Amino acid sequence: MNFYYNMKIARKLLIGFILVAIIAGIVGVVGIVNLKDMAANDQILYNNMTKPMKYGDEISVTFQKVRNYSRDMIMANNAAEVEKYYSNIKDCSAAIDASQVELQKCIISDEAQVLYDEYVKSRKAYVANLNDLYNICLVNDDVSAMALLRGEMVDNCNAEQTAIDNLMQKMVDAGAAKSAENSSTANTATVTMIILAVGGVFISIVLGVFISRIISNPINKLSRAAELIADGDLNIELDIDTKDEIGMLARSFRRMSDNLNETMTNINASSEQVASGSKQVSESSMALSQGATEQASSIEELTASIEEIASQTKLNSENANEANKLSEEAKVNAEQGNVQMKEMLKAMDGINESSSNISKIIKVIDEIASQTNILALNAAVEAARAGQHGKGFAVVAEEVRTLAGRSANAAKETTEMIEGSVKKVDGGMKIANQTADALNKIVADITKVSSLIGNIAIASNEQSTGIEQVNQGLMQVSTVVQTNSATSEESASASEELSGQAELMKQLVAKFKLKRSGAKRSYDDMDSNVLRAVDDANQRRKSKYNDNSIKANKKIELSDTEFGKY
Amino acid sequence: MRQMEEELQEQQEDTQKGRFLTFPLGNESYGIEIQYVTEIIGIQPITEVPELPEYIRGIINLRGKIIPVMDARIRFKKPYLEYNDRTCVIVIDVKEVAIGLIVDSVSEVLSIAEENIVPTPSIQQIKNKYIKGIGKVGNEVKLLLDCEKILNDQELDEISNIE
Amino acid sequence: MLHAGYKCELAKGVIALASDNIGESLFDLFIFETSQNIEQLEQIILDNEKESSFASDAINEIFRIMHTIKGSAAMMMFDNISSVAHKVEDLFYFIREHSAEKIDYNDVPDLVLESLDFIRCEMEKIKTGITADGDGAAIVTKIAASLKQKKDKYQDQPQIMPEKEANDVNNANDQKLIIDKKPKKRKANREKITEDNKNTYKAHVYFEEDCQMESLRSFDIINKIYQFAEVIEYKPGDIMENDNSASIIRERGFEVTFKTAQNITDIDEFFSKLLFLRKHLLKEIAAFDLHQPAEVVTPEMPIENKTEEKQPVANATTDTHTAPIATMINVNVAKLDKLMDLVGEMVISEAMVVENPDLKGLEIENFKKASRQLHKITSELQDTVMSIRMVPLADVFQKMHRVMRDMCKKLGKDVKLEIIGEDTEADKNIITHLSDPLMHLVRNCIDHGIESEEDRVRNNKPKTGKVTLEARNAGNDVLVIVRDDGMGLDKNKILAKAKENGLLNKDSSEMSDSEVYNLIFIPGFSTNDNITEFSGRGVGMDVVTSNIEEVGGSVSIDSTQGVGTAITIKIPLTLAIIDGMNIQVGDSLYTIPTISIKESFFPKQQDLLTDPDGNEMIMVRGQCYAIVRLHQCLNVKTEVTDFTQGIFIMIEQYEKTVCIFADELIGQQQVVVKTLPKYIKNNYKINGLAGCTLLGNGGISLILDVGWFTGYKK
Repeated sequence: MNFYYNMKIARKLLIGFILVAIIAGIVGVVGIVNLKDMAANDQILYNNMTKPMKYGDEISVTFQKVRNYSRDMIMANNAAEVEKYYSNIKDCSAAIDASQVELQKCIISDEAQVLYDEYVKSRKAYVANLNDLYNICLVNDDVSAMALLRGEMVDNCNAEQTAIDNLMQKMVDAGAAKSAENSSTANTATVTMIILAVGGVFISIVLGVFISRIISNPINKLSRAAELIADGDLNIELDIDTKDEIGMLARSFRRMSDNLNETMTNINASSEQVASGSKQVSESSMALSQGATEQASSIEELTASIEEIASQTKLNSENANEANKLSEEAKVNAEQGNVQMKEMLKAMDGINESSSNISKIIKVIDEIASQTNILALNAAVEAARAGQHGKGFAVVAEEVRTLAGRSANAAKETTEMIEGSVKKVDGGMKIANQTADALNKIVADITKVSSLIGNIAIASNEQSTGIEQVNQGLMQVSTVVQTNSATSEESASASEELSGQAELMKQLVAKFKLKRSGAKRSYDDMDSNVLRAVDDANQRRKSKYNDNSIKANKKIELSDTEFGKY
Repeated sequence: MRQMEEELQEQQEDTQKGRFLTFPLGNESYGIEIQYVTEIIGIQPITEVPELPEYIRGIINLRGKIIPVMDARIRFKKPYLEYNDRTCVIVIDVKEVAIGLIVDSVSEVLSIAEENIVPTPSIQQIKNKYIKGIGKVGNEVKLLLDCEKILNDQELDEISNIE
Repeated sequence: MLHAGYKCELAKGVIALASDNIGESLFDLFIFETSQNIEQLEQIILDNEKESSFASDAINEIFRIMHTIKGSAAMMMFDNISSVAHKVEDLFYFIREHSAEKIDYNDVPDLVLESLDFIRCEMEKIKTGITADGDGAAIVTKIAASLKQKKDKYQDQPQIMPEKEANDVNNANDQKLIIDKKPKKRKANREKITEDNKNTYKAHVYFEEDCQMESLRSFDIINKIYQFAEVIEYKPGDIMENDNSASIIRERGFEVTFKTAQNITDIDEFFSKLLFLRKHLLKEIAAFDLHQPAEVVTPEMPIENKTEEKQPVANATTDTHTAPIATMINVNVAKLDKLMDLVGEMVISEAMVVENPDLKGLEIENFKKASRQLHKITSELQDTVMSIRMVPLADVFQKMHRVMRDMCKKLGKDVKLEIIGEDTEADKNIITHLSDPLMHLVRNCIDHGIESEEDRVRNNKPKTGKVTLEARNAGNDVLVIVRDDGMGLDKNKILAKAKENGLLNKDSSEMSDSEVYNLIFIPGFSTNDNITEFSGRGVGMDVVTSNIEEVGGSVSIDSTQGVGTAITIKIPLTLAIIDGMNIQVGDSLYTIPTISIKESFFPKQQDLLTDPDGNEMIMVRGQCYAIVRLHQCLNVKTEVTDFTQGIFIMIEQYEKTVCIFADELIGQQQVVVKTLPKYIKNNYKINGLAGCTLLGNGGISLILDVGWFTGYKK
């Protein structure tokens, strides 16, 4: 029975249902077998009893017809008529033979077989008489025929008839017997069926009650334990140790309650620690807030002095710009002077060029004069050769020569003058060139000065923007300091709130009824761990605070000394 | 007929006598008898001819006539002077032999009366072999050239060179 | 008759006086005519001497010439000439007056030639401006003696018929006018005698130059003349049959001789009315028996005569000349030279105008067209002037007859002179230079070449020796060959003689035939042992070469011992204009006669050689040639001194070849050769320069003397 208890719930249910199904199957099979028996008996009844009656009937009817025809045949006078009736007789005989064969198939009992043989004997005798009759009829011997008919034939005919009737009677009797047998078989089957059904119902009810009780009992126990935990009582016991699903559930339940118990204990401890820590935090925050306020005020002072510096730098750069502008103007003026100097040089060049052109022309004039001179001389030679007649011409030639000489002289003088002016222009050009050089130098120097002043202006501009940036940075520092002071106040209030919350938590944990014995060891571990963690946290907080204060001091010092940097 | 011509010739020569074309050469002034002078031209491109003495500069094309040109400076042992546009060529014609005389420039045509012409001092006969005489014109003195000698006695000249 | 002749000369003098250069013209005319007459006379004498008698027309001719000389000499007041001429005239007067056959002529030619020589000598004196003071008395006496002797002789002879005499005179007249129609003329003269009332006229008709169909027009004239006269003959006689007659008429005019009763003025009028006649000459033949035929001329005639224009077709009236038709005029050679100079200058000026740098780059189609036309005309003018200067060699050749005769007489040799190609022409100046050399050569031929009669017979040669003068054209040159059939040159004798005189500078065995023969041209060389009157002084052949070379010709000699010698003179056709190749060295331009340039080429470095003496040479097709650096030779500054930078010009003369190295070739052109100025020529000997020429740009280019460069003249 233990085996069964340890079985899984599903398997238990499956076994119960299988047993119920087997019982129902047995009842069904018995019923079907009885029904089949009854159907087979009915078949036999029809084939062997009902069908032969029909064939016997047909044989007797057709026999009667043959009798008739035989009479007609005797009465018929000519052969043709005889023939005609004989063929009719023949047909009827064939029909009788067919039915006879069918009948024979339905014969099952020996008695019926005997009766059938009797019939076949009588039949044969009658058929032989018929043939005789036919032969007589063909000769038209009515008398003999009648004789025969009334003789022998009557006997045979009766025999035959009786055989058939006997056979028929026998058949009906056999049928009745059979039907009675069938009815009894049916009755037996019904009884068997009823007995089996009653037995099945009983067994099924018993099984159902047993299985349901096995499952429901432990679940009820668990539900009661869960209700206890819900009410905060973690101190519970469970005695279920089966190996099925419910047993497993019970074990887990136990572990859960143990764990909860442990956790609650720890929470209780740490909430105390939190409460003390938060108090400390609140104190230090207050101190911080006070320092930040002081810082903010000193920064305000710093900002004011820097503003003053900025305004002075701006003035400086403006002055530099002014100076730059002035030097630029001076440079432009100097350049203009240079350009004009160059133009003057060009003009002097032009003078030079035109003087050289003039001297070229004078050269041409001089050349013409010398050629004229030669011509005049040639003329003089010719005139001299012409002697007396050339005297007048010689005078003219002389005149021309004088003219040529004069023009040559004039050309020479002009050349000298032009050469003088060219020389003077050359001197002027030299001076102008020197002036131009000096102007060029001035321009270069002024350009240098202007670029230097420009550099100064740019530098002071840059300085002023730098101071602006310093100012901006200080503003940012001041806002940060203010924010810091606010934040430290906030954190003080928050830590106060935190200690309140820790107290509240302690109260809440106290609500739970805790089990002390079972989880002792694990509590120690946890306690040390937690304690260490809490200590760490405390220490860290303290050191941080110290660091911060030192750093803040340092920063202020730095900004005081290094102010000039910006 | 011929007589008449000759007379004419004589007359012409008469009128030409005593007329000189003068030209300066260095410090001196020289004169050439007008009858030898054909014309005066400017300097022209000169074609050099090999194997000629230095003072024959070459030949020039005078309107289709080819004549030799002689540098008077070199001929009279004066330093050579680069030719310029003032340089003239006096074309002279002595007994159908034409030659050009390159001179620095040409001065004028002068009449020098017979009585103003004096012979060269006889002491320096050899040196002054080209000078026919010395003409006085006012305060100036003109050395009158003997054209025929200039043209013809270069052999003598050569001999004197050797000496 | 004398009177008429004198008048004629006088007229000429007057005409000449009318022209511009009075004295000169008259004088020149006298010299020219007289020398021409002398030459002509000499020719006639020589011709007649061979026949040992004088043809009557020849006697007339001699008489007339002598008369002319006498007249003009008297007019120019050269009395000695005049008296000699007078005496000769007397002599021939006698011969003419008396039967020619009956007179002893033997001394006549000698006498005449002697007097001619005298006159010629005097003429030379006059020409050179020396007073003609020769004494003709000796000759005069000689002639007078001869005449006397003849006269004496003649007294023994019977008188000849006067008619014959007249006939002879007539003949002489005809001879003067129509030379080759003697038989007909005689017939005409005979007719004249029978029909006294009619006069015979001869008309010389010239058609206008472009009238065309001259022959038809001539025929028309004849038809017209038939209406009033009887045509005796006309010339050319075959006007209708011969196609060429038209051109003959165009050139020489148409002559017709006819007989009519009408007087001369009517006939003249008839000719004046004919169409297309340029001019006509009408002469009455029969009316004036012995006198000069009257000339009836159209008005143009005297003008043409006077002005002495160069129109070649002008009717010339050098009436005493033997020229077939007188269409020549006499022009002073100096004038021709001047003309030549002018044409040369014009060619240069043309180039100066056409190639003027001012025209460079201008599109001047019309100018170019015009300049082409100008060029055509100038070149034609140049050709024409050249052709005017061309003179046949005949004159020079004819002179040789006299030389020959004198030589033969003196040396007692019998030599015949044969002349071939005497109508070959060459420049007048060149021909002048040819005369002396030819004389020397002919003398040499007779003296040294032709053997004595006995020797000739011994050598199976014809007794009479033969000297042939031949002239013919060969390209731009004229070849004159003097050939004899004498003994030829003896090589060994020449060599021996050369050795003796120290003229050999080469081993005799190495010398080729022509080199050996050329030895005889060396000055002072003579193979003749005895100095004769004519040769043997060793001057002759030297004169030949120097004279010929002066005109740019050459002499070569060829001989076969025992058969004969041939001396060939090669002279240029003309001197004035040559084809030249202009080359440049430094800044100077030089011209090389194209005819002596064989080729020009750029050298390859490997072909250049230098022998140990520093002589530079070049190999061209396996032949080695000396190199002449023109810039060194002519002392010209140039930057092209490396052979590969410049160009080589191979020049050849007398089979000697050198390569001239110049900077570059400028191009070929025809250049007018000008001699170097007189001053330079007179005073200096410039080696390597043959002359100079003017270039189109007015510059001067010096013409190189190829002969000097090839070393021939060194």
